[in-house]
Amino acid sequence: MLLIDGLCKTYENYGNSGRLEVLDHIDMKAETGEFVSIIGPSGCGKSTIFNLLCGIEEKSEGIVTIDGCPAKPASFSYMQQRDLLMDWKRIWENISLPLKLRGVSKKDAKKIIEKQSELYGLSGFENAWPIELSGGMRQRAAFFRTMLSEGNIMLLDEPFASIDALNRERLQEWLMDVLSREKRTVLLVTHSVDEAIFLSDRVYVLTERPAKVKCCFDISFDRPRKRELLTAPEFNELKAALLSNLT
Amino acid sequence: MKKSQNIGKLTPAFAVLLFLIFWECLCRILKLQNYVLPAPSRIFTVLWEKRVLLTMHTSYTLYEAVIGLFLSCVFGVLAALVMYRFRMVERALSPLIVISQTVPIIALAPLVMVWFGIGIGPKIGIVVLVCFFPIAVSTLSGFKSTDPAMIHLLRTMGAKSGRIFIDVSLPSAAPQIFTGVRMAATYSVMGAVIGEWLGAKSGLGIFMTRAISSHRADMLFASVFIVVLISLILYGITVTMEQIFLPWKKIKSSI
Ligand SMILES: Nc1ncnc2c1ncn2[C@@H]1O[C@H](COP(=O)(O)OP(=O)(O)OP(=O)(O)O)[C@@H](O)[C@H]1O
Ligand SMILES: [Mg+2]
Repeated sequence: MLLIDGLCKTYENYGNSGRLEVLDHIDMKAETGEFVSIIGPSGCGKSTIFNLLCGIEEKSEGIVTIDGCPAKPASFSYMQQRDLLMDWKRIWENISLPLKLRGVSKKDAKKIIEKQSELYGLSGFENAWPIELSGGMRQRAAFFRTMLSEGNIMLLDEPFASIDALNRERLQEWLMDVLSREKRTVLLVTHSVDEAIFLSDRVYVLTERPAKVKCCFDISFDRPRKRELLTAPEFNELKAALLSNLT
Repeated sequence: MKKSQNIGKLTPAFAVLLFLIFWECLCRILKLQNYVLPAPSRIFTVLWEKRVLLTMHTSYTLYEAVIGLFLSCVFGVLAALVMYRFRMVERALSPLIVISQTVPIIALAPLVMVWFGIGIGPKIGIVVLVCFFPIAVSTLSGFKSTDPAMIHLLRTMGAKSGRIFIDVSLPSAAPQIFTGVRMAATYSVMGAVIGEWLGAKSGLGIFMTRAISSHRADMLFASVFIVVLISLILYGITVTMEQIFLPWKKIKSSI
């Protein structure tokens, strides 16, 4: 179980005003295998939470534990807001980066990727260059790479942000499908209330900066979930409650 | 579609041809003497007549230019690397490097001769003096353009600094390294020629000074033609190498 207790972040030496308080005592938890979404106004500090968990930035205060032990950056697999594919590596080389860093040979890595690329809708594109791929394919490649990272807790920062509504829905269902095969704890940042409710076991709503947890919704629809859920009355009730807390 | 593309490619060749024809006509109509302005036909005749001598001189110049260019690449990239790695070194060196570029090489070159004699070494030294700067500067700005998020990504995956350098910093800088090398390639032959002007036994530079002192403008132009030609060839080689080493860039420009 991931437990975030009183996480704070203040950027010192920020602009003219001196300091910028971004996170103000964030408390969150995610049971192993749970899907948790974080939703909040733009610029409130959602990406910052992930950066702190991964050790990209130093936290100012707070404790993060996994099953009672202090969390290590290696416990997380982070998919950042930008896909961060390297232009100079072919798709399969980009995806196999976490394998390569773990010492898996090139040949084995390629085999692993060719076996799974179907699932990520990338079969036939293993040898393409990233610039030859569409935005959605790039996102899936970045997601594939994240799945191959060892960290058991996945941090997904708006993975579907640059994708149009239709493909977005398809990708959401696809994400649930992928995760149902390989159970992992997931933290997802999103702007979409529909997406948060549709995918999650729990949704945290954050306030404007400095971000606090405004409220938390447990979502107990059965899995596997179908698209029709989006039009169910219970879904819309939840959505209304969530939206009223967002503004 | 295909046809118009081919015509587009041929346009520069046509322009050059037209220019040569204009030049030829000008010389014939005005009955210009060879020592004033030789006609292209005359220049090509000289090129053919003196081919053995010119080949010998060209081989020296080309040798100096290529070795100098190669050394500049090695030193330029190494210097950029050290400056990128140690900000202190960059802060200390960058004004010196800029100042060194404002010193007219032609004024410095005689000194180099005094120090090192008139062998092939000082010519290579002058080529390096000319070519080092563009390579070092653009390589450094290439290293600096590395996306820090990319570095973080690899670090969260547990990569060590060496790995990060090879997988991220170097490829990020590669396009700009090639830009620097391309610029340096066009300067390198000129650098060698300047070196030879100031004293040498062989090389196109010495061929030029002899042509000038005997009022043979046609020979002068013949050697200028060769300088242009081998500069273009060196440039072409760097462009080809870039396409080989950076295959993803070719696709980028075709999209
Ligand atoms: N390295 C940094 N130095 C100083 N300030 C920063 C830094 N990184 C982020 N910030 C500031 O922290 C605040 C929160 O940034 P963050 O990227 O976490 O927002 P976000 O909630 O992810 O926004 P969005 O939804 O637009 O992605 C912003 O005001 C940003 O300017
Ligand atoms: Mg963000």
